[in-house]
Amino acid sequence: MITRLHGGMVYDPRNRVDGEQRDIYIRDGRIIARPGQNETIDRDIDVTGRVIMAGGIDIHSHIGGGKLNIARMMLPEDHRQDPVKATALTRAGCGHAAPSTLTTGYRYAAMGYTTCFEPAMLPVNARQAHLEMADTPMIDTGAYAMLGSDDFLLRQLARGASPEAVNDYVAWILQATQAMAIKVVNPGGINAFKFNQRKLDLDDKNEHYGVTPRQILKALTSAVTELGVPHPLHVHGCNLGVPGNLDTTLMTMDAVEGRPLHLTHIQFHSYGREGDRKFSSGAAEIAEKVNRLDNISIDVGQVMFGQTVTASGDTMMQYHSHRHAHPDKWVCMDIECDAGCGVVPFRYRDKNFVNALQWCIGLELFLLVDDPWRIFLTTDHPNGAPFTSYPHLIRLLMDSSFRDDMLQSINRHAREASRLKGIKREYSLYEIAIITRAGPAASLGLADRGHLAPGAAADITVYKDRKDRQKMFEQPEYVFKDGVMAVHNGRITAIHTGLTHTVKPDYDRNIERRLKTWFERYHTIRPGNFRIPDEELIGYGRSGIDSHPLKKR
Amino acid sequence: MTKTTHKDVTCPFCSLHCDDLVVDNDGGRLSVRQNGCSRARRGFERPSPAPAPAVRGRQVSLDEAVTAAARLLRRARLPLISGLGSDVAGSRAVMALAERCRAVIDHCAGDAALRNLLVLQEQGWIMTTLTEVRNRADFILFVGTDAGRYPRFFERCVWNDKPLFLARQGERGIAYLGQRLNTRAGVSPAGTRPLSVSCPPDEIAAYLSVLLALLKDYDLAPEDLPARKRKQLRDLAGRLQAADYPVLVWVPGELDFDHGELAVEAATAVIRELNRKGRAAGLSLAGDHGTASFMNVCTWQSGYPLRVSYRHGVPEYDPWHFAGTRLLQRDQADLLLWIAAYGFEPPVPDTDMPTIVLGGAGTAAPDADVFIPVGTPGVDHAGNLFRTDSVVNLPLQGLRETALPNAAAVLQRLEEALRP
Repeated sequence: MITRLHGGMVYDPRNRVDGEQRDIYIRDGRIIARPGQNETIDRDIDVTGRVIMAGGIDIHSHIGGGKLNIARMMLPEDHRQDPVKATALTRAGCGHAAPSTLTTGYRYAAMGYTTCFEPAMLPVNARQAHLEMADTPMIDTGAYAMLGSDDFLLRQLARGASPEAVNDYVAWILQATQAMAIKVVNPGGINAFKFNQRKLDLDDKNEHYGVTPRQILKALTSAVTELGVPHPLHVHGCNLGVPGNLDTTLMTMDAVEGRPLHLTHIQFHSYGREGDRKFSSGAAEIAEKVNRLDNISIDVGQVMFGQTVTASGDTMMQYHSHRHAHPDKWVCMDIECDAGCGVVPFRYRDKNFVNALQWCIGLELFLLVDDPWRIFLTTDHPNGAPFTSYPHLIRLLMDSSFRDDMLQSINRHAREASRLKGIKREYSLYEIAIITRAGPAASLGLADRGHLAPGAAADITVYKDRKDRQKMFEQPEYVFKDGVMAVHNGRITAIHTGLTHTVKPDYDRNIERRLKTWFERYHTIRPGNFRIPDEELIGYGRSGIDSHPLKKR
Repeated sequence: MTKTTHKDVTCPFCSLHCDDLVVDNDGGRLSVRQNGCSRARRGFERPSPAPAPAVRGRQVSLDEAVTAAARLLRRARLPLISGLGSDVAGSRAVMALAERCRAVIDHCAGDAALRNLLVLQEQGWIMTTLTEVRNRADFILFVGTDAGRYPRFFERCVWNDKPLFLARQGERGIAYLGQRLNTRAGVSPAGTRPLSVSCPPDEIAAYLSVLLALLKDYDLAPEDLPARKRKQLRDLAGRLQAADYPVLVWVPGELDFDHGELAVEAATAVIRELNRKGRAAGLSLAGDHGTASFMNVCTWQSGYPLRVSYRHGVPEYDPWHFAGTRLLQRDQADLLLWIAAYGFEPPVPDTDMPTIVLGGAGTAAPDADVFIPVGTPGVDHAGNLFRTDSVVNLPLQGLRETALPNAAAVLQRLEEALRP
């Protein structure tokens, strides 16, 4: 069975194709160069003049796991306004800030996305995260295991464990939790909060262990690099949301001594302390440094106006921000000598100085960072805004007059404080294809996703080339998932069961003995029960596990 | 018959889900060899029920039973799916079936669950998990409970050997607030007796409010509170403030009086106040009969934790309207599908409406129109379950050969039979 898409304009940055008219052939879920001599084209779809990209890849979206389910549970009012009916193919559910898993899958697919990564999977909560992702239809999924506030690692670091011992532990965690990468959230800060420390800067010591965030970052970037995990350490830095945190963020970039580092939702970490209100944009300084250091990649965590909910592992900072909860209810949890979570509903207001400036800062970062391969489009769903706002965000990036119009409508003082009005840059379709698929795929080491060369998985999105980029990206005409037409004009046409992306670095089996003692002495779960075997994960309803090769040391 | 031994077995019979049991299987007869408790032994050591489905008391094949059940479901205008004693796979199957037949779903422990949920949805809370309590809690206040229904809680999380952050075993303060509580488990290994403040259950919220006022430094002196009680509460406030990581423990199922949620709310308010300067957290012991699993699955699939109706084709949430007992009492539903895979759920409700029962060992359903015996998760088949803290999900093992289907498989077959 061969499908041809003919006449489309292809944007495939990994293969340096920038809007060229090319036919695309699909066979058995893969893109092929052209059919063999004896093969016939079974299905020919005319996509003349359409824009063709690989399926979107979201590198940072909270789609599964405990904190999101707490957000769903505590916010019935979030769902009541957006009930979703079943169709002959799709199940019922609900949308908005903390949508049901089912609706999340359908809406991502309808928006042209085919892969999503849950960026903050607590190792001890991995089973739940994977179960939720298995109930998220249409898309492939993967998750980053959170380390850095777990007592096992902190005790190791406090006792001066060898780098090899840390590597073994990190590798074991990646395997046991079926993870794709390692995330660190407020390095050591979630742990410090359990000891009632309310602030932990890069060189502050955890009062129990004496370990600093800098040490944790060094140990974990070293482990991730040594193990050859393709995606760099994924870092949610210290001091999230605190005016002046810009300095910490800049120092964090230096703390890893040139090793690869991904700074996530950096918008929340790019705040200065200038001006009457002691809150200002640090985007220019951040962008300047990112431009200079090619070991750094970032995603933005753009804020969009409206009601959402913030769900984070960062208990320390979520506790701090609970006074801004809207509606006024919030959850904090200390979790299992592993990590924690905080859930705070939030409404970003365009007439509020701080919120409006946050919006500006995110856009400034998008527009001031030069290399689109090192910046990815995210709203830190749902923390900055629900993922369904991506098309609007894309229009803001691609259409400077639209951006200027929006800028006119926000808080005047924020507008005046921002340099946004002076920035005329507009993203091209090619650059959008980089920040929404090719870049994330490259960063994650997905060799056969995020591009359209022969051999790649046939995850393909076909857009009508509309002037209104928001409308264009809201509703692609076709979405193919592994070669099957999954969406047509916003309607789901085939249900797809996704696979799970993982890496499986090897480790010295001695670590299992040490973990057995540790678990039996201090935990309330046995390591054998903590671990998720392949068969179990597949049994939740995954079409497979894609275990990606490690980088050579 | 051969004898096999299973290690690291997760116990499905209370929501602590201890996963360190050693269970012997001697020709299909199970016995708990290590790390059990009375509830585990009672659950694991029951004989396996006969895999004999019945339609109106007449034994039939599984196929016939499923066909008869599907026929009843197809005729129903508003089915109620309740009991819901199952695991994650069973809960997922319940959701698909409920959506297919436009049913209302409520858990047999729904009243207890709502005492927590109403507080979560009104104010939120600060909570903790078992391993944190085990290693960190230096003072534990039991609110309206002695945790006696969770037999290994003290062994695993209170008097455990060598906690990470406490200098020595037993270095924890224990206190109780409530009436007729068995405080013996709260005596430390060194013999230190717990603090105990006696108060009637429906005054727990009021006592906690006085405690909250004391923590806020208001010199509140309600006239009807005797001086002795005031002093006790003042002591309690002092102990809570002096502790590094006090934990308040409650069992929502035991706050079984009008507006029991107010006691939960008052406890969470005390915790919030303690967190202004120090740390403190809550721990709810709940979620038996797979409640925590069902609530999680129901939430991620529908957006709402329980008491959801699919009557109008979309999930709708209403803790009052969609209460199972209320729908049954008022004949507002017209079919009951009751799932009780553990066999320790409350009895099948007595009702005139058509009834389908999926029951584990020990489930009596003589009046059911359709009765399908099912396996018990973690005994007859593998699966997984959320623990009481709703964070840790533990795998279950199938420990013996059985001809019993699991609830998920039967529910899937029903859902398939109802597809247009």
